[in-house]
Amino acid sequence: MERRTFLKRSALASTALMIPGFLQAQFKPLSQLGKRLIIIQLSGGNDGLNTVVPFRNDIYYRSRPVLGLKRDQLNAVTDAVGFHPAFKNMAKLYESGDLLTINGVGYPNPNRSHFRSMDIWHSASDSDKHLQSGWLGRYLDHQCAGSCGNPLAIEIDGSLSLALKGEEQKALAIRNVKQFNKMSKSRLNQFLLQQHEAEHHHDNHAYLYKTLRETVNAADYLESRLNRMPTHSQFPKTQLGRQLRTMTQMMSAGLDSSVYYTSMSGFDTHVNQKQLQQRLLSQVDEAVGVLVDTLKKENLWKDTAVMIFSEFGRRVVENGSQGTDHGSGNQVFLLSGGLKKQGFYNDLPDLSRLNDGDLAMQIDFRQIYTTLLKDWFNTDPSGIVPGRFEPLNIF
Amino acid sequence: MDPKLNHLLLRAGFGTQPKAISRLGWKSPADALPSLFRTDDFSITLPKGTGSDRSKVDKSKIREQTVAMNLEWLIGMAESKSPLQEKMCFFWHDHFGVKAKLPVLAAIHNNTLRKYALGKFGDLLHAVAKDPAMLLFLNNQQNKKSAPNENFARELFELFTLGEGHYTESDIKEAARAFTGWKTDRQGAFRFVRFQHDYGAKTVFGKRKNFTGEQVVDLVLQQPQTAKFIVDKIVDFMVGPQLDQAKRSDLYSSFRRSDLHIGKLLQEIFTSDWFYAQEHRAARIKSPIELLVSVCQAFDLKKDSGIGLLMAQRSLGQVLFAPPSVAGWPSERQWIDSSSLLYRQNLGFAVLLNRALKGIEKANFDAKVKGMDLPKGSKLFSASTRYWQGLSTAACSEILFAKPPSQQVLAQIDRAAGAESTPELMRLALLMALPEYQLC
Repeated sequence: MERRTFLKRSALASTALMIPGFLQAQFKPLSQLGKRLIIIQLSGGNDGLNTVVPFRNDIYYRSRPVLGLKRDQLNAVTDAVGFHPAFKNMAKLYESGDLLTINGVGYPNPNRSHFRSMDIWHSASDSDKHLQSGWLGRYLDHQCAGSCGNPLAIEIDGSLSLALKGEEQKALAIRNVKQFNKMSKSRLNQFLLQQHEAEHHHDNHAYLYKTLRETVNAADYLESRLNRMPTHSQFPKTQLGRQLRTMTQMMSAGLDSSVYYTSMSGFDTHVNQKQLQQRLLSQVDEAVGVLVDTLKKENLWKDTAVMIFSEFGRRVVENGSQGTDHGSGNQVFLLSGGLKKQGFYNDLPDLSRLNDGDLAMQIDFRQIYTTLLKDWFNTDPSGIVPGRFEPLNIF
Repeated sequence: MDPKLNHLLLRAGFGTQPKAISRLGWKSPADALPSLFRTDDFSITLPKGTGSDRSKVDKSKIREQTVAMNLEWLIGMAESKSPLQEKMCFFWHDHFGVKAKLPVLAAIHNNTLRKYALGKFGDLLHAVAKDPAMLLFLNNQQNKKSAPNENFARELFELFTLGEGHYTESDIKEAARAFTGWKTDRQGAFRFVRFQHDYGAKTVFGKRKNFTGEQVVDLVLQQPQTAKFIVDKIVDFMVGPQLDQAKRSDLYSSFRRSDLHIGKLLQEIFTSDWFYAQEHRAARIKSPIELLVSVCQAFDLKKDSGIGLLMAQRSLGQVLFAPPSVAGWPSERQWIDSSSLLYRQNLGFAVLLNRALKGIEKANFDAKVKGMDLPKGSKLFSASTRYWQGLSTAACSEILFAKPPSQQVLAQIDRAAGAESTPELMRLALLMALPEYQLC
């Protein structure tokens, strides 16, 4: 569908969106169903073929004479498939039925630029179309006609990703709650908001003040919940560990937010992949292990889904620098206490049928988005995900 | 300062400095207009040593050159004697959305945009179509008679000239054949490879002939929709999306009469009365680059503020020479969310008072940019405020803002700044923390 038509058909054309947010400044619970979605983005293109390894496949070992992982190093989950040596907790989560691996996820005409491919994942556009809003942002537009009193989606970073920018609504990006509160509730901002009682204009000036008011409201809200935030000191002291800790604190404190977003970079393993990927996947595995444990203890796990994705996978054949180059097609991990389908959603990619040296696409990533919106959030995906995609039978 | 003059300088450039206004003695837009259309001989220095041979690229050198080019242009925009040319060069950088793998090709591309920035759109389009960075970026290198690649033809119509809905899929397929054999060699020069070119007849926009690539560019330039599409985009950028259709229609006609002359179109806009109407002032949100260039200009930031300026570009989401896709950057409200607004509000404190932007900058920023490692304890920004000293807060605000804030707000800022140890710097930082500073 063309961008213009798509935007017209979506909720964005609704005039309800034009009501300034501060007219509805009162807090209201938005995640009525109590379902939460956590997204962990692995930036740089994680090598999926060495993450979920077909250890009985000769083509795999022929393509990866240096990087190929031996059967005895792997955490075998079936009689033919093993997880990367670093994925110890992930293997346990596979056993306990908390994990679903979806293989061969991608999109038609894959793009091998990190930035462009990430934008395609964020905006949910076709690879030859350009959308300047993100899929979760459009979910916010859809959910918050006018305003979301409390932040519905939070990214744990200093700046906001495209995925969380709607046409009207934007999620909140916070790296450190105390710092965020201090900066947004400066004396100047308090003074300015007193000067600007509800504006009824829709121009950019009013938009800036609307954003400022929402920021200060969010800071007030977070402050009111601060003392309810447990320390959760069990998380590893890595960047991802700290990010997952912050979002778990927010969830434990009963924040209304239903989407939490975080990313970890460094997966662009063109050289010395073995050590690099071991270190990175260990960080993912440790942090995710603690995350799931904590959410189980807090009785939040059955209403939480975690999606782990990367903008693309890597080429099947290793390069000459003990690394791998940009490829396409990759697995997506879904973790949840509410999975109906567990283990593997589909077969591993067929290494004898490659597309120009790359894994063939089996599942369009927008099928996963459609599933999350429709079956997890109980929301009509039209107007959020452009086009129509068959949902997966997961939840 | 005349608010109309400031409006013109903010849109046709990146604002101004107190010293420039007093030195030039400008009182009204009419005083400034003639010098706005001057063109400058500034160009991005072509980086040496990485060549165009992709097999021999040195990654750390590329990174070093990319950083150097970024700052050369950012500071070049701030110091330019022909800010309109730089502003339009920036506009075309966004319009054509090219990201080059090699710095030298990015520099050649950028200098091409600058050369034609205020000239005829046709000259610009012909030059860009044969530009090495463009040929590589949109895969025309792979466009051969035996296996046509439509990427360039598609974006030529969709993003560069006509917009969606004004061409058919068949126009794209046929046009792509006309560009077969258009390549760049390893030195970055255009090369026409005869044996890969499709000399057969093509049907484009209902006309059938054995068109060459140049003729297809001419065909699309003749489409009335191209004039309309380009005028609308320039008007949205220079005036704002709110400009009414009647005035736009007048501009379409005169743009076509002038053979799509960009400079003449801008002249017509800036000499009109309606351009200075209240409704158009402070109507746009500055993009991160527009914001940063105006800050560089106001406080004389140079290369020694490089790390701060690079971090700000990354945190605010707009890095020169790295548009997110061929469609360019988002605009206006897409730039503003809670965290970017907080960052923008605190930028003045970082630039002028050396306060940290801790917790609001983008994570994973690699500050160890080669050759620019920041010594411990040194400042991210080195600002000069000498031109602002001795000016009243109201006088500062007349230069910093498209629409100066109210007396109450200025009084509050004076009160708050007066209680600090460096009131002169503090009031400037507080002025920059007002949401209105984000407008131009």
